[in-house]
Amino acid sequence: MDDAIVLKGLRKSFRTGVRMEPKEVLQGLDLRVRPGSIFGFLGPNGAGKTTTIKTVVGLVRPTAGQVTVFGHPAGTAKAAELLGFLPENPYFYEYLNPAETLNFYGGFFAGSRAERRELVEELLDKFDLQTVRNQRIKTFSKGMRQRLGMAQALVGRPQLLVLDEPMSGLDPIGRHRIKEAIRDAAERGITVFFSSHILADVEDLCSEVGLLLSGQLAKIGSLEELLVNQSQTYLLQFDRVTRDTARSLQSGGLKGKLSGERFLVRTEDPDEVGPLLDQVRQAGGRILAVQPLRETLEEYFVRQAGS
Amino acid sequence: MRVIWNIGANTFREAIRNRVLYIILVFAFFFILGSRFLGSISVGQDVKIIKDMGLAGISLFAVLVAIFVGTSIVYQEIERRTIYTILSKPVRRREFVIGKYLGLCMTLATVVAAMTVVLGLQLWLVGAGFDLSFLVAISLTLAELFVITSVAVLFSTVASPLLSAVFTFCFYIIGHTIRNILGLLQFVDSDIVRRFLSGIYFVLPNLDNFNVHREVVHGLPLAWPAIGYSLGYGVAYSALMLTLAALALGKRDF
Ligand SMILES: Nc1ncnc2c1ncn2[C@@H]1O[C@H](COP(=O)(O)OP(=O)(O)OP(=O)(O)O)[C@@H](O)[C@H]1O
Ligand SMILES: [Mg+2]
Repeated sequence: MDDAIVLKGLRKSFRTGVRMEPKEVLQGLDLRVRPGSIFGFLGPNGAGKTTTIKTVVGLVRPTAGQVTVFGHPAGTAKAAELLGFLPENPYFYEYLNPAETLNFYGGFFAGSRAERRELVEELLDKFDLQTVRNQRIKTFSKGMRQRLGMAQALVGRPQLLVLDEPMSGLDPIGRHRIKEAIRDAAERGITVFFSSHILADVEDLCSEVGLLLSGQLAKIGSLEELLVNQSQTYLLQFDRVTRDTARSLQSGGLKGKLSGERFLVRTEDPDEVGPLLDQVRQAGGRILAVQPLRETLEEYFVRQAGS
Repeated sequence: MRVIWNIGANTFREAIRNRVLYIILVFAFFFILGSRFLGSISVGQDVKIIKDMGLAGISLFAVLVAIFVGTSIVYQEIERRTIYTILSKPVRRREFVIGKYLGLCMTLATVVAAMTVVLGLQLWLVGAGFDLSFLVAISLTLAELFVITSVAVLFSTVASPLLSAVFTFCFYIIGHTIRNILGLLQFVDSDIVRRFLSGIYFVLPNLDNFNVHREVVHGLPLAWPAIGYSLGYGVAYSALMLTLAALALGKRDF
């Protein structure tokens, strides 16, 4: 089976400004998304995530390189039949209601009217839009729009979902709902490719992530691989620690924080963890937690931007 | 075909839910009904005046609809980004353009039909009839509107609604005064200006060819070959405009 998405040497420049100087936004991306996977496409603002996604769904033509969807060149009707797309902040016809909207989008795909009706009802149910089915989209909140956007992406029964920041601007419940929808799609064998700059969104969903930094694919692999830092940090939490004990714990150059009897300390040296625990126990303190701290995506971005 | 029809039907639905359309229609109805009071001033002439003003009114107000609704129709999809979801579906860009055009044409046909009904009612009230040549005149007006709409659609793929509206309106005005350009030519000495004017004459259609109001109002015979020629020209011209619009859209990044 062909890969769900293949990017080969993808480049894109935009001509901007008064002098129309070309600015290279994508600088030769190579990427494969395996069928059935949930792929997280990470990168800071302006990295080129949306531009990449637009080349996949055929809204932007590459300057150089190839983009295919299940082996079909991006932008062709064949490719479009196989994918569902949720844009960043989706826009709809404000004068339509959800039922009309889904019926309209469904009309671009093969199938009888009855089949389409049935699918539309199913999607309205699934995304909790039945109660507002006759309400014009003009009046919709961000969360409702995003849910309608997901429903709209699924209306062609796609094999690939391409979602541009599907969880941005949503409250925890909204995020949870979208995550559920992504998981559900993946369980039904749909490949999901989505962009984000928020680690938590990607963390519990993706089997694979790619990291885009200023138009180049900096890394690709599992999230663990991506965020392994040479200097792993451990956070230690203690209770019943006296002022004196705290002082002696910090004598080795470590900086901790004592509030009441609680003491928090970080170390980057794994060999230091054991002795610290011993010291506290001997002084009558209580050990609450020893926690490895994974680098946050924010820290990672900052570190990458610095190097 | 399914794709074009789907877009066309939705465009029609958008247009008939647009308030501007109804404002223009209300003015149109007042205009058509108002002609009766002008008619009653000049005894014996009233039917002719109602017909003349009615036909002119239908043409004028429908052109306003074509301009106000037509020029924003593609631009708005880009500006409001509704085009993102459409073009990511199995929709070719040329199908999108043709669908939009089709929807506009359906809207104009509906608007013209509504105004024709009002005019017919008006004529019936004063005891006058409604003959075939009258319908020919209105159909030709509709054909002219289809040509103007194709120009509006082309403009709206490359320019903002305001600019498009201005351009399309100029197109309409020049199209109706173009006959005079030929007359002007003989008075022009400068070779460049002469070339420019003949260029305009060549590029823009003579929209007067679609106007048989005078013949219909005064009961003169219709010149069928000329009408046939105008229709053929209109079809070719619209097809060219839509092709250009599809090319302009096809090259764009969104
Ligand atoms: N149509 C365009 N014309 C000119 N420049 C563009 C165009 N589209 C994108 N860019 C530029 O390309 C760069 C990448 O933009 P893109 O929207 O792909 O980033 P992104 O990773 O999606 O960012 P965000 O997280 O903010 O959504 C930006 O610097 C942007 O200014
Ligand atoms: Mg983006």
